[in-house]
Amino acid sequence: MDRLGERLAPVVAAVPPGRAIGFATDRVGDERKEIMHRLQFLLAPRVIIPDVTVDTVLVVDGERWLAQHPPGEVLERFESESGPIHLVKQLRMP
Amino acid sequence: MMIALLLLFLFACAVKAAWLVRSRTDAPLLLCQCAGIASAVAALGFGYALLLFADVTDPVLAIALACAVLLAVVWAWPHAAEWLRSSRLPRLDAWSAVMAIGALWFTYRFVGFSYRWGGFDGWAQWNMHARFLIGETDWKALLETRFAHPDYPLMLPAIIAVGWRALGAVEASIPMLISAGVAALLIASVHGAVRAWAMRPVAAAAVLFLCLDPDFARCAASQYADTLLALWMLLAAVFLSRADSASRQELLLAGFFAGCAAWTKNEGVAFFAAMLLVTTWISRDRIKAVLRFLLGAALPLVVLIWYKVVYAPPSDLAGPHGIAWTTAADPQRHWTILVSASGHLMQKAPFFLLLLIAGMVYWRRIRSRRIMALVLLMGAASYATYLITPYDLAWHVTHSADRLAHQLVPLLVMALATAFKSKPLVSAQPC
Repeated sequence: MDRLGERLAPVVAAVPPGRAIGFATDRVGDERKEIMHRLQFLLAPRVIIPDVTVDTVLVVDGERWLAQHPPGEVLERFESESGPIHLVKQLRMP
Repeated sequence: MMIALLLLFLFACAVKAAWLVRSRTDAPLLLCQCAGIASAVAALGFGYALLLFADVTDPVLAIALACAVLLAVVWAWPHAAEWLRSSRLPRLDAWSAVMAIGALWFTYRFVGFSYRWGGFDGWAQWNMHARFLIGETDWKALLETRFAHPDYPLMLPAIIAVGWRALGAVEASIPMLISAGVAALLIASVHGAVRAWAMRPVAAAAVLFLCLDPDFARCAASQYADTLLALWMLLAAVFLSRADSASRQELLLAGFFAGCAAWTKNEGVAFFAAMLLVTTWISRDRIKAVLRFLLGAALPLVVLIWYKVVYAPPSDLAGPHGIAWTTAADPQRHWTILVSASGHLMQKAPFFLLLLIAGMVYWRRIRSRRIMALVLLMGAASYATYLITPYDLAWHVTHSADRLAHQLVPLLVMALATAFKSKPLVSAQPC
């Protein structure tokens, strides 16, 4: 878990302080809950919210979600124990 | 430097607190020392939170710490030499050997159950909450983590955060060391408390029981707040059970530790209510005794109320799901609680069930009815919570019953120890 935290730290460092980071995954139930808690633990004191309307979204093992919600720009993609992680910069809707 | 200051502060607070508790000559030294150390740890837990709530800056925090250390040292200086002189190595006999073997076994099991950042609630809640309190950003961002129970009291996260700030880094070793220290303090407190009522073999048996209980070691190593809560509950109950018409310190301390329990977990609030109820009952015609209890609880309660009223979102029970009042009358629900709880406890906390059976067998011989009343009230409070929980009932029971058992095991051990009449009853008189 700590290795994933080290990997995520510079990735989310680009997000302005005080801004929450969104979260999405294809997984459901307890697995979704556990991934969300792990992200929150690793990225604290940044706040993770189960919301995809914010500027920056972490998509964990969410290929289906990405296909259904064409993102603005995938800033980074890497593998983790929980599956592939995409950091998505949202395109603002007009 | 900060670690040295913190250790000095802890030592000075512990010395002074132990001296205050020792005002009664029949108080065992070990119990006084444990209460002193526990008071110092509690002072870190709500003192740091108070400074956070007051939005103090880092320089002010450093000045506050320096002043606290200075005051504590000046306050405790006259007693330090005597305390150190009276602290002697334990007597080496067969009972010491029994306890040493128990402690070694417990350490072996504790290390075996320990892992980085602890169990799910350890990292997802307590350690995660602590990360918001280290001053990197505004700690109030914690309140936005709606799915991670930001309404939970902050005693344990504050203690962990103090450790991390003293170390200058967020290290997994700090919560691990805190959980080990709290477990050791709890076992030592049980020994000290039992020695106040019974002879050495009974105290050794109580320590051995806790050390051999695999679920006690598992829960203690999980880095959850339940062991810390169990410590406050034990100390509060012990001082309440020792309170009589001549005592002043005991009720203050009972109130203080009950307040600490409320600032540690939401179940602690139920325990505080149970303590207040028992205190009121045993001192019906003496309002001063109740006031003394409340005075002891004032500081931790101020911190708790400040947090709950000003900052914390509503708890899950009062949250969007709402309380399931209407389902409380459903007989099926009562059946589910009984079946789920008994099955879960048989699997996860068989030693607790053994203690319950022993409690029923020795009911007439147990002299501390106050402790048994607290155990029964906590059992009733948990049952009522299950009845109205908005969560899936079986899930809720199987995710919390063993922790409730963990909190109550030291109380039950203590109550059972009083069944072995070896020393005169201290609290024969009402408060």
